Amino acid sequence: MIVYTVSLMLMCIGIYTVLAKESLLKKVIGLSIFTNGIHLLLISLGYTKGGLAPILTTIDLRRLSLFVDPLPQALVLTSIVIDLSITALAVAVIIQVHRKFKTSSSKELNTLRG
Amino acid sequence: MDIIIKTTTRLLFPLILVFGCYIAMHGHLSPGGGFPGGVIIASAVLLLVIAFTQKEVETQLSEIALEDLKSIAGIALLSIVFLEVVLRPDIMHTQTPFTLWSGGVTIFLNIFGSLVVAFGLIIVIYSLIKEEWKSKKSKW
Amino acid sequence: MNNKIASILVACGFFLVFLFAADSFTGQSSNVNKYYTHNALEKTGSANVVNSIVWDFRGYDTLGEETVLFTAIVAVFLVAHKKGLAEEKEEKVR
Repeated sequence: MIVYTVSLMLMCIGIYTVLAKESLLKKVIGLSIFTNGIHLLLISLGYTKGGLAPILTTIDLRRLSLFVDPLPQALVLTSIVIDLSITALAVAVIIQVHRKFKTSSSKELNTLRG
Repeated sequence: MDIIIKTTTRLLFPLILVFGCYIAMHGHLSPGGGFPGGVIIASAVLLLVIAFTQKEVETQLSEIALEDLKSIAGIALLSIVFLEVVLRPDIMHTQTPFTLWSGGVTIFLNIFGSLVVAFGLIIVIYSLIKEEWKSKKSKW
Repeated sequence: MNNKIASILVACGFFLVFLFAADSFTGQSSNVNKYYTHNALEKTGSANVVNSIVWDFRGYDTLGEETVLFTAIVAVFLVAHKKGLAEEKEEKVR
């Protein structure tokens, strides 16, 4: 229950940062925090009491029912790589916006005309 | 940068490179695999770019050569996948489990996957740091 | 100031809605997980179950994800090196 509350706190901090901060770079950081909170929630759903990490060391078939779920871990690996691609492309677009308009705050960018 | 940072970087760069290659190659025995190994190799080159200036590092690792290497690694990965689907080689009979040479074709997939990720992230680092910003009037 | 108060209210509302829905989160291991852990060593030969899922049992998903990463890296290279109209005219004048 504590892990679910922590991941919900991460999601709320991420949403607050995207909505309330003025600089464009801080909004990108908030999006990354929100994505990491969702990853934490997905992995912690597959935990069983007294579980072990899913790596075999000997040919011993009696302990196989004590492993945690390996399937959400494999899907979250894919999601982390996609989050990296989104962050890199967003930072490249912010660099070009700063070169053209000489500013990178959303309040001043809202008042541009033409 | 200072001489302390330059000397420490010269000592640390090969250690981080070997650590990244270890995590990438032992993907079928311990946690890790292709993607974390490639990121660690790219972070070793990022340490070089921070300590020495980007122009000096680019004379050794040029950007055009990195693009060709990344494409070659991607083509090798695709060719291994298609050859395994079409030919179905029987490598598993010559391997013993729980050693380094095991796991069928996954060891080659791990190596080429880590090379694609590492070279791609070095190109991203070069593109984002490259030119200086001309304006000095803004706050961010 | 109004912006910050509204965003705090949105974050707190998000928190309360999901807190009431968190009672129904139970960890159930389905049949697919038992199949993966019991058959990973015989059919694949690797001792790491997560690695055999990513590269062997569900390998086509990893292939699509590598394509996404490749496209994003090419797009970052093109966007960061593009020059605007004013800089191109400066270079032509020189």
